[in-house]
Amino acid sequence: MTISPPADQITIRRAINGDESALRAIWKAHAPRVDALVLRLVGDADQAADVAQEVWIQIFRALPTYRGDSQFSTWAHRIAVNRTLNALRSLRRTSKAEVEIEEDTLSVEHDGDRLLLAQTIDEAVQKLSPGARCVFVLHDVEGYTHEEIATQLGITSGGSKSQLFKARARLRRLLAHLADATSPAKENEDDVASQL
Amino acid sequence: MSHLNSERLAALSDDTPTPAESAHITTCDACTAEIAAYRRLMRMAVAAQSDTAKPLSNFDALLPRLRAEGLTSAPARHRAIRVWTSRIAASLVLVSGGVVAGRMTATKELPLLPKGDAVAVVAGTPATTTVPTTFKSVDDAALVLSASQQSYQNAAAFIAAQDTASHFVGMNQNAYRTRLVVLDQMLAATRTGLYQAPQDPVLNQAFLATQGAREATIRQYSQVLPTKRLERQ
Repeated sequence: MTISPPADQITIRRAINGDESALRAIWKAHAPRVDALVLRLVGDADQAADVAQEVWIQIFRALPTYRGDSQFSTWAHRIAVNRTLNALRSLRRTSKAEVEIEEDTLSVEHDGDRLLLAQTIDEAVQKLSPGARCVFVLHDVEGYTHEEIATQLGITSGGSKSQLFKARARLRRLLAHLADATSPAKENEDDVASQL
Repeated sequence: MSHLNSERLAALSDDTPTPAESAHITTCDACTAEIAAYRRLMRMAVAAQSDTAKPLSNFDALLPRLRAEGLTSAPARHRAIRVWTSRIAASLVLVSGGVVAGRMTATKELPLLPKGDAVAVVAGTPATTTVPTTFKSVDDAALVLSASQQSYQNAAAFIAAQDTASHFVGMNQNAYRTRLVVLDQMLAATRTGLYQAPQDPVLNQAFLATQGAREATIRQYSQVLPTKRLERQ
């Protein structure tokens, strides 16, 4: 279900007034992307499910503060990022040991199926270290700047860049079979040449 | 110049190469292909983000917490009933407001009074107020509207306090309490309406009239109850 902008405002107003059907409509419209963001940031599906529940509680709590200055999805994503990063800090305090995945490649059916492709990329992203994963998702997927990421994560802008480049390099290894696809490669190489 | 390392190649997918790097890349097929692969990877990552269809969260599992925190109060059916109850209550406010206004115009005009002085007015005070019918500007009209609302509230409170008709035989504590409960419900209904349409003068006047009647009822109630007991309620 997709909520169009005018209906979105009405639905949000109803939700602020406690209308359960409006709250459900908002959740239904935005949960797939908000929850996907949470999963990418958290990595572990079980932990992400718990965090996603907390994220939605936080979004509904904050609804009265939404003033329509930005798109609702953008506003909700910001809350999701903040809440998830807070949750990750708590999770890391309780589990200091990070699991390092040794395998360098993922076995994937390269059949062009977009869902499979998305799943493959998600799995690869989940193999990144938590810090690198957060920076990669926030910068390359969500479009945050390094300055914004630095503020969110309490690191320097240079640290954010360093984490990002490491994340990309690791993803390049994990997804070599996808990134080395032959047909678009020549086209992209032409892009590289034209931008030098 | 030797080949660029992997992190630098990753950076160059959206960063500007130095002149030395640029010179190398133009002559190195391997590095050019590698940068292209990084860019392709980034595009795939962005494109893949909208493809996660099934939510991790569960709305039905959220509901108990939402209800516990007061973020949602009742299922849709119950809320619909409550909405209709509110509308009926709002209609009653309008009717009662009209009755008060009718009583005012049927007997005599009362002067505009500063807030809180309504009860001090002696019955029989001659009418001195001229109600304007034309306005110079919207601001002018808004000022008159504001003054009228204040006057309306004062008058409603005064009439409710002086009105012997409300001292029916059998008007005891319970009767006043019942009236207060109803007035509170009417206030809640009009307050809800004003929240959704704060600029609506009809709802505004209905709210003020009810508030005036409530204040007067509290004064009447206080005459039949010990002060301490009233404060507790």
